[in-house]
Amino acid sequence: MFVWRGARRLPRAMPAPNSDEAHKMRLGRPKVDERTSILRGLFLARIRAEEHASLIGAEREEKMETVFVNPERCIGCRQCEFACAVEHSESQDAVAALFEEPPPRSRIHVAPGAAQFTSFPGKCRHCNPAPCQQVCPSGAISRDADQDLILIDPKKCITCAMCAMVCPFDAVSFHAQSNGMPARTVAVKCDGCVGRMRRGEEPACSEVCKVDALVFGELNDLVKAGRVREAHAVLSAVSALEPEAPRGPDNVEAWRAWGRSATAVRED
Amino acid sequence: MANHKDINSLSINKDARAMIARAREEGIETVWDRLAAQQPQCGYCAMGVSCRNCAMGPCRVDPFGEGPQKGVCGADADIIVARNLGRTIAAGAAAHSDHGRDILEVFAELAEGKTSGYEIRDPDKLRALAEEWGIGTEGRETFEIAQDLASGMMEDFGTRKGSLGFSTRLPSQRTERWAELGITPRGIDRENVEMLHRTHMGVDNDYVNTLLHCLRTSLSDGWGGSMVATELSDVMFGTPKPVLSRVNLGALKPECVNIALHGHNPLLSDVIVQAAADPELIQMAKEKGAEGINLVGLCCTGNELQMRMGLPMAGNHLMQELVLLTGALDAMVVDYQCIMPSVTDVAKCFHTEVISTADKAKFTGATHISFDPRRGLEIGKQIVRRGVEAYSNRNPERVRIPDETVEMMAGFSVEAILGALGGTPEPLVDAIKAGKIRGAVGVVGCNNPKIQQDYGHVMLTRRLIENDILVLVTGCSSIANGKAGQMMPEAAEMAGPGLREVCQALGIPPVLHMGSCVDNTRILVLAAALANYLGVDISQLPLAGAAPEWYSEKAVSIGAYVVASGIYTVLGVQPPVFGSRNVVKLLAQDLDDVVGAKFGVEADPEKAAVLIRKHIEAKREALGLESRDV
Repeated sequence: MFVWRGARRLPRAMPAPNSDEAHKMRLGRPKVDERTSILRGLFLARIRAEEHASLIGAEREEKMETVFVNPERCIGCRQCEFACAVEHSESQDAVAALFEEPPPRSRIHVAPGAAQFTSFPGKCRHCNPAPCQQVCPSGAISRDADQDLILIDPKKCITCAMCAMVCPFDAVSFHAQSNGMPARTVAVKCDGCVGRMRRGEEPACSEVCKVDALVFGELNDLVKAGRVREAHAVLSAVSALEPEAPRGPDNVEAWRAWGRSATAVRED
Repeated sequence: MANHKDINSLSINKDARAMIARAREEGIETVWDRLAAQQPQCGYCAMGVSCRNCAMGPCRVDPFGEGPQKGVCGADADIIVARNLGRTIAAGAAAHSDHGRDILEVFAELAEGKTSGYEIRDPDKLRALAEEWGIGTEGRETFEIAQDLASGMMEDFGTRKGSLGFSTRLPSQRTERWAELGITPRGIDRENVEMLHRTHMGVDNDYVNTLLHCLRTSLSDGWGGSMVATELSDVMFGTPKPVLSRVNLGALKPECVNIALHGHNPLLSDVIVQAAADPELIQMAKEKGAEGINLVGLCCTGNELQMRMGLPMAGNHLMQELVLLTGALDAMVVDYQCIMPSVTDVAKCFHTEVISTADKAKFTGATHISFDPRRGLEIGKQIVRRGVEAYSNRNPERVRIPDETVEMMAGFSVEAILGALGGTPEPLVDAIKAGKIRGAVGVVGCNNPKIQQDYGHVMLTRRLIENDILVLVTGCSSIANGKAGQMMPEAAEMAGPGLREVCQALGIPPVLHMGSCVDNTRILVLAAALANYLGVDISQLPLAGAAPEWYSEKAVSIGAYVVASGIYTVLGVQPPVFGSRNVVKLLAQDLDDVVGAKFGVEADPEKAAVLIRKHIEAKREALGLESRDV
């Protein structure tokens, strides 16, 4: 009944975070401090002035690092939420964080899908242009030029919630924070682990994700991996060689199939 | 987190729907809200590939095959899933067997004349058990026999005998198969302890070996601890006979003091029934303005009382919070197992007093009255008195009892079934041979909020009886089927022509209430009796088991001992094993070659019914009986 079709494995989007391959990729990347922030700022200003959506320039492409989501991989363990909360705590320690006041909260939110055993980790996508930044009346929302991340300055935030209203992903929450921020409710969202990024580390959420539902890397590489995956599925369907080509290992598919069935089953 | 699901999708029952609506109206949290708040639930845990057995961990294996494939110790998905399943079964078997031990200990004290409120109500059964146990009965006093039987059964809990007393009930083919596989249970407690040992890091590192011990552990429950519980409960409280009863939240009476008995063990609840008949307490209730004292059952404590005395049943597992929402319950008396910690929270929204009674099962927010069999009746009266006192605090304006009760017939012990057949399984065997009854299926197990409440039980049972399959129910399933009106002799009308004819001739329902969840052993005993009568192994019979809405560790142990006894079992809720294709293959396929039975998983009861019918027809064909295409 259960036949492992090893050849049907998904192509890997990125090397494992701690693999040699990943290490090489990091080393090969130009370091942030090799560029002056002034030049970088001028570069970004030019980009904005010309065309926000035009992201095909070689230098831009090189810097498009992001946390990419493979929704079919998410199994709802919520370890990203836990890691995010710890990362944004005062102590950055999993045990000590539990005793902090106000308690640290996650900025990534794993929401259940329509069927049991499906879920999606939603977070700020750091849009460019960012609707939240455009509507923020107090100038609290800015783009970090070095890391290309949308950040909120809690000191400037007036908690008007305009950002939350325009956010296409409902990624903004409102609460007080423990990590040295003003002790009042402000808009809070994913900061792309900007501190880790400056140290050349990957964000906390993708680091703890062991099923590659969250993968950190160059956006175009990740999209390309997805394109290859998509092409495999489409081609195998078209050629009818493997009409029921599974999207993941057969036992995981069987696990999900129960979730779909249990969600649908009821008396009319 | 609020739960916005359509109320009708949560339960098929009118009484449940009305009370869930009230909970939402009043902002009272129930199990469905908490399930919604837990979404999404962790996939590692749901697939069984997370391990926190040691402090090198916790570990998890990426089921997609690319992240970590081994825990820190080196355990792969197969080992981790098998270890987790083993611990689950050990916990389930321990719960049943510890329940059995509690009954045995009171029985032993009764035999020594040290208890109050207990008697040997079925001395014939005591003598029959003693004969089975090789204890002389000729010219001996009942209490003398009871003392010897008690010490004989206590030996089964230890390690000195090396086998279980009840294994003599099995066909020899089955015990020989177990011996070949090395899964003969050696002692009730021993197998559980050994399972905990084996699943410690660095002990049993072969998943097949661990899974075989899973079967042995579960057998120590089914043919050991649970069977002790069932048989001694019959001796002390009476062997059940068919009895009419009523079911659903309508069992509560607005004009009476209402006390619910919830949990699993009949030890205390039986003396409470005696105490509630005390004229002084009834007088006290009347002085407070009530018309009397009304006892209702919940879950398996309710089943134990319903099948012996016809006590009305308020509901099954998912009704335990909703019964409080009627505002008409004055006291909920709990013993142990399946009692949600949330009952004390819901009770706080009303005047209901929650009274815990087992020293091993205390509840924050409950009044604890420690149960002592030596002062059984006195404690029973003390508990009923508290219920009567709580009645004074009831606010009649908040009372909402949602539905009229439904009639059901309970109390089909093996003795009662054989009695209805004229003392021998022959008429049942003949009906099966003639094809009037295609086979028999035990539909058992719990409720689980992941499945629309009672839909799995009721729909599966309906499809089976429509196709001439006799259904035996226990636990939450019996309450579900009772509420659906499928457990009265008149329900024979719903059955296929063959089963209808047999039921009408005998005046029995097509769905037989065999008791609480420890009473699944009655189904084992009946299966063994049929096999012995025909001189075949249990696995050759056209039988199956199903747990359409299971949730508890006990249910996993039950499923495992039913399969290890040779009966195909379909689970409606997925067990956490899908992270290991090898474990799934072994449970759903290879076990058939080893013990003559395997597991299936199917959430949709309509599809589960087809799987079971196919299996039954295949077994009929193998026995040379007429079979149908399904």
